[in-house]
Amino acid sequence: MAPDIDKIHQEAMVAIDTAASSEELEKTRIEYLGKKGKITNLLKSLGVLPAEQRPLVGKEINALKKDFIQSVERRLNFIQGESLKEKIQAEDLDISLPGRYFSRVGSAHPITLTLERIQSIFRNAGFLPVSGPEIETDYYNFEALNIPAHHPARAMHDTFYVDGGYLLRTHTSPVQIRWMEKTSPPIRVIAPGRVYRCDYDQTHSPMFHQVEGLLLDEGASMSQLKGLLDNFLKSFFQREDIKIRYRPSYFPFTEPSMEVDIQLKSSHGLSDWLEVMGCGMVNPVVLTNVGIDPEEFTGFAFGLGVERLAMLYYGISDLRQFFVNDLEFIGQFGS
Amino acid sequence: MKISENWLREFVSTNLSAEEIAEELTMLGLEVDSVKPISRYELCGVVWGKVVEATPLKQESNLKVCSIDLGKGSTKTVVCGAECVPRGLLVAYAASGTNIVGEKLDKKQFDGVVSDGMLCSREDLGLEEHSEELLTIRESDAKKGDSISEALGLPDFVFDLDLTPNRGDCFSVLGVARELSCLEGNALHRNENEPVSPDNNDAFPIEIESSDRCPQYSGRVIRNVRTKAKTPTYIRERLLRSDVRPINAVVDITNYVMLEMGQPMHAFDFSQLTEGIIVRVGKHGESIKLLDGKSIDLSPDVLVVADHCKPVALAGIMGGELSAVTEQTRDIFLESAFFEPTSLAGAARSFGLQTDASTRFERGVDPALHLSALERATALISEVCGGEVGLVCSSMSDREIKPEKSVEFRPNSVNKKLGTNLSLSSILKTLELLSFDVTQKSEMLWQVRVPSFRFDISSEVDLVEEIGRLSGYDKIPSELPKLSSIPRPYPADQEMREGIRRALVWRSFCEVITYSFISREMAQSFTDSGLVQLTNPISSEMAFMRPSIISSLINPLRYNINRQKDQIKLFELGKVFKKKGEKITEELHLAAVSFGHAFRKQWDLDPKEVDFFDIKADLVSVLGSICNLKLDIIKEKKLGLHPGQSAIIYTGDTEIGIIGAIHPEVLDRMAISGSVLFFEVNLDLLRLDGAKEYSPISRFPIVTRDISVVVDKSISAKLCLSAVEKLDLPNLKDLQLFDLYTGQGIDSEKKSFSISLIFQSSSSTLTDVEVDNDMNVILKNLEEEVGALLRD
Repeated sequence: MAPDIDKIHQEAMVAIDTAASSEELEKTRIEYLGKKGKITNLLKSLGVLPAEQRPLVGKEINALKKDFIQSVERRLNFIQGESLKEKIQAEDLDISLPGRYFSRVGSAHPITLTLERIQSIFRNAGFLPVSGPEIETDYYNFEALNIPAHHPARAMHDTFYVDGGYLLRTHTSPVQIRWMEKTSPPIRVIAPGRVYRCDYDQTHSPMFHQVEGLLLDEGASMSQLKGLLDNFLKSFFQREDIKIRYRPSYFPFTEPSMEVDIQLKSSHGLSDWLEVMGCGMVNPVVLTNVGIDPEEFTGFAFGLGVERLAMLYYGISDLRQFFVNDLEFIGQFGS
Repeated sequence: MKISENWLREFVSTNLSAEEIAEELTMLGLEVDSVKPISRYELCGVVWGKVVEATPLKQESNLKVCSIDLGKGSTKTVVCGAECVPRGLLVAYAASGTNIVGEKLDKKQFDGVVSDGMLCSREDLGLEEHSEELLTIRESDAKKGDSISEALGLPDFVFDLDLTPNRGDCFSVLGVARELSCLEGNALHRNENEPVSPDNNDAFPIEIESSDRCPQYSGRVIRNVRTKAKTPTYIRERLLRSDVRPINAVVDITNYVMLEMGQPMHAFDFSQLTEGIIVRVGKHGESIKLLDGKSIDLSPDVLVVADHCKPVALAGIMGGELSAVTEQTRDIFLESAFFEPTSLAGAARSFGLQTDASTRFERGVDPALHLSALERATALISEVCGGEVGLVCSSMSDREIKPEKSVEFRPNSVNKKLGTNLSLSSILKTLELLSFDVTQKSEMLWQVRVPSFRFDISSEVDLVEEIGRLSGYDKIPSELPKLSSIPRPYPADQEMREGIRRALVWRSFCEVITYSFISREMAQSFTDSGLVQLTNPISSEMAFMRPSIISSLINPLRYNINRQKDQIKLFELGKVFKKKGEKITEELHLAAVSFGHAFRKQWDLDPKEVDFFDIKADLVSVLGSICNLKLDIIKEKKLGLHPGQSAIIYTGDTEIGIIGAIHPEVLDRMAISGSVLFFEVNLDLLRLDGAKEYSPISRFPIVTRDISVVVDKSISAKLCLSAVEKLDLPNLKDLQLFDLYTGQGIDSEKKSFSISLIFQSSSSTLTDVEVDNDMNVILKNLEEEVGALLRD
């Protein structure tokens, strides 16, 4: 009996080790452990043995069976491991191929990005963005802002007119008037938007963008205006070392009026003074025009040219670039 | 306005350098755009010489060999190419070794003649951009061998001032000097001369009809004036430095006095004036030919200076050609008047005539100035041109010129408004420096008299500004405003715009900003009525306000196509303008346009050009996700769009925009080949909903059934789907049309749609029977409504 067991054992081990796939291995398993399998038959033949031999032979056969099962399992693990390895090898990629995209992400216009930057800074200071019409009346664009007909200041505003006696707003300041008429102090608003002047050359565009700001409150003062703008300019240019200068100027709708100049440091040293904003205390005449008592409330207003700030921020030297809309240009700014 | 530094220093003594003066003026509110030396060259080596001989270098040569006498026995030989080598005058001569014309002068040989130095024009010396003539001077004004610097007043700087319209008082050397003298350490010198005593009793009657516009007018006759006299070099130089073109001695002197004192003046040829001066308004039918040759038709809006026959000048703007002073003129009538700022404002601009005179009168000329200016000009004319001076003739209006203004002033308003801490005494001192006359009614209420030259001061806040300006805005402390605004949400429309912009950028679109004005042709490509027209456009290309954004996206599209871009996706957010009757309306629109490849060339994707369904996906996903809108897109023909690919976009019953392909004819006109897809939406009509309501999630499994149905070709996908959507089937969660098939196996008049139907119940696991029942209802309705049959 014993040699039989040993022989089967040896044969079985060879069969297991030579099985090349899980299917072949399963065949081998059935050959030995199936209903009519060789090991199964050995177990069945145990009954014909004399009773005293049974425990010993039985133990041997069980050891064989146990070893067989473990070997099959080991072989199966090995086969599965090999095929996974193969699969993985086959899935090796040249990951340097370009990613599957439909195209590049687009880009927002640098003017828009600049406007959003400006707005987000003032938004953090409690300023609400508001808007007004681009086709305005003479009243809102000039009269209400203390620029009566024939005022010499009108010469600074080369105005486009449209039929019906309307005009294209020359600045965003009319939004001040509209907002003051609509609401009552305290007021903190900024009005971004397109403005138009009849002027077209290398440094002038007939359409450009401004942001107007207005704060109206009890006790608003020039020092607060300075504090606000100092912080705005530092935040906008993201630098503390920016030099800021406030210089007297003239706007009919503010008094006192100031022009804000900045100096930027670069590797070439300090820039010239660059004019970036106009501002001032709201002229009492303007407040009276909208029915606000200038003795009770004071306010300040400021206006800035968005193209100017965008040019400084991005280092763009030609104003006209903004409106050519060359994808090579716009594509540089992201979202 | 440009003025010479040396001239300014005649009126104010200061230790400041030219650059420092510029800085101080700028910080006082008189912005100095530039301060530039007269010449970029060192001119000390250039001297006056006299041409004693000039012979042609050789026959038919333009070059002349000149012998130059430099005085003290020194003579030089120069070969000179100037057309005219003046004999009677002294000429500017630069010796060899001098640095001018941007290089060091060397001795040069011309046909064996050694040229030692050169004769110079103003251009050669860097004094002017262009000048052909040699720089000369009368022998009475300089000596041979002297440096040209002294006679020309060199070295000198020119300040270019950019004056604000409120500061008419600073439109003169005197005005600028007066401003500078308000600063510590600077003193003002006035340059007034004694009245010139008349040589005779010549008088000329003056009558003012429009006294409200011209309250005072003075003048005098000067006879036998040598109008051919040469303008003194210093006057000529200063005029040039102020960019005023020298004309003749008399005109130059009136201009000189204007620049110096700020009083515009005019000299008439007296022989052309009849009987007397009348200041009046123009009459219909009258016209006048002006000095610049232009003829102007007059009307009662225009103030004129006339004699008893005809208008002779546009008051305060420009004189007439007929009565102009020329070298033939012998007798002159010199005018010095005060015209009210409002009397000629607008007139100058409406005629396109901004003159030095009108600029000053519009901003306000000191009414106390006109007589002293008349005396100053008389003295200069007598000195230069001789002549017999007549009486000063004046007409002063009964209505007195505005009495000097007086302003009530609460000194504490200064610190309140500026946020400063200035003392009362320093406020008082500042006002006095500025020539204000202060009477203290009480400690807190002052009466301030305004000097006649300050047209811009009429209220308390004007004085606050003066004090702020003089004490320096840089000295105002910087503090933050106290927060007293109301917390509010960020405006929804703003948030929507920003969201849309980002979504489009992520879908490969680039934002453009185009001019709001376009050509008529562009405007009419997509809109047939209600155009808003500019009355004064820059060009016909920019003559109409755009009625749609797509009409202004064509240009950037074409530009980028011409720059060889093969995938172009652009969008713009902005206003469009329409006229409805007399009313002009503005709407905020969004338009996106797509051209060329749908995506970039890929290593594992077949290339494809954009079509309707690309732009439709852009529209639906952007507005769908940002605005949470359900859009209906209904086919309809629109102007400028491809008739088979043109639709209106609805949300609910509201028409919010259009989508489609641009009509091939339009593209042809714009020289664009290929398809251009776009959509345009009126954002004003979109409302961002508030918080969305949560709907519970079903935890039961999904059952999907795919069907293919055959329908007539005329049945649209929308029609087919709506036959399912309209059914009341609570378990039908979603349906998707995922295939369109025509061809083999299907009647050529028919097409097949494949649709996925997705079922899910919120309360139980669906059984096959339940789903089958729903499917039967669906198939039945598809057949009834659109004749759809299941494909075998």
